Amino acid sequence: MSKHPTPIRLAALLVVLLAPIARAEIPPTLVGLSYQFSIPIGNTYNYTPPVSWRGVGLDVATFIRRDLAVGLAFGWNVFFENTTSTLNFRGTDVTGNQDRALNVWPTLVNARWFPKISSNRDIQPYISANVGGYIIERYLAIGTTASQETHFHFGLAPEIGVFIQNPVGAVFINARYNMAFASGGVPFQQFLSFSLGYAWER
Amino acid sequence: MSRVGKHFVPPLVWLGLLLAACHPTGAETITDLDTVATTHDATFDFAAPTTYSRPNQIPLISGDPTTSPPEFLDAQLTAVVFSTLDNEMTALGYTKVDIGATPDLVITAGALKVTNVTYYYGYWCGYWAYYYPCYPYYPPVAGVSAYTQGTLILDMAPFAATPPANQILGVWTAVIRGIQSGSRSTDQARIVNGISQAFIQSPYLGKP
Repeated sequence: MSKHPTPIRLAALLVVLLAPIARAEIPPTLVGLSYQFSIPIGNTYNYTPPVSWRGVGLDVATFIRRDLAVGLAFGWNVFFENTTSTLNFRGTDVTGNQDRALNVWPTLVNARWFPKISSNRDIQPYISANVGGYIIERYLAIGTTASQETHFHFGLAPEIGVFIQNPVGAVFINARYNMAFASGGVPFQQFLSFSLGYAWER
Repeated sequence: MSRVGKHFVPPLVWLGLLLAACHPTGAETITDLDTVATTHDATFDFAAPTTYSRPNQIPLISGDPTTSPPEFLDAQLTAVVFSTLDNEMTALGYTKVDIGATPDLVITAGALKVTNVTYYYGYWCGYWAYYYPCYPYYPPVAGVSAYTQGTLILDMAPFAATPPANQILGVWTAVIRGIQSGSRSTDQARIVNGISQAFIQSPYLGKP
């Protein structure tokens, strides 16, 4: 006669059998690489109005709960404009052929919440809050003169996205509203970035 | 999920580097280098003055402020500079008067014959002392400190026979790069365009 009652044995069996499935559905750590394009807003738009088609992202996330992951988000977004319009630069109005560029490196920590929308998690939306810093390099070249300054900006970034799982990984898309607060004489910067990436388990 | 995804890393990284490496080209024609910079004293009421005066010559700043007499910009280009300047000032409601008529504003002009004169304002007193009492001059904002050869500099200051604290505080400065390309017709067009642009981007000038 067994020392354990049947219900306990059944529960133990279920844990053993279901644990790998749970791990397959929600891996403990994800690494994602993405291509990003960004729409400048506010002061960022005033300095470099065109949409940025140059951007990459690296995300690392680990699940601390079935529906909650914490992680890091790194990126590189490049905004550029060639213009002859007038620019106010530290109190001086300047007109001439200008190359303006913003190199933005977000360095954020985040928490992602994955609401359960169905028993099948193949398509899994999420909401995320990012906080951290943005290293922003602002470059301006006029004629034969150029200036470049780099500052660290405190920043926040709400984000929504979705993971679409497949047998070998997951495609993800997201939209992140990036807000970098004023620093070093460079005003508040904002841009909306869209990512298309691929994630896999580590 | 499997580790198959790691095979995507190299192409994605290279794609990122490729995208980030794209960089704009530089200037293609000499006019691409033309630049107009203006700065002003935001506390000064430009609507109050009604008259201005200016010298009738433009000294060439050669790097030695003690050169006496200084070289001057040739008469034809000088005429273009001053006619354009006078047209713009008149359009804003200011009246040109002789320096002896006690104007409200004084405008001086200088042209750089050398590059990287970072102490341009040291010339202000010496070059125009024949015309205006010699006092140390201070620009409204030290936003521009280095200029290149072929740059025209216009300075505006309130007239005062005996300025307070024995110094003249400028209220408007225009730096117009690109007036010495070697082609007289091109230079004249660039002068007119440059001076006009300096006034266009200074909407605070003039009388309402």
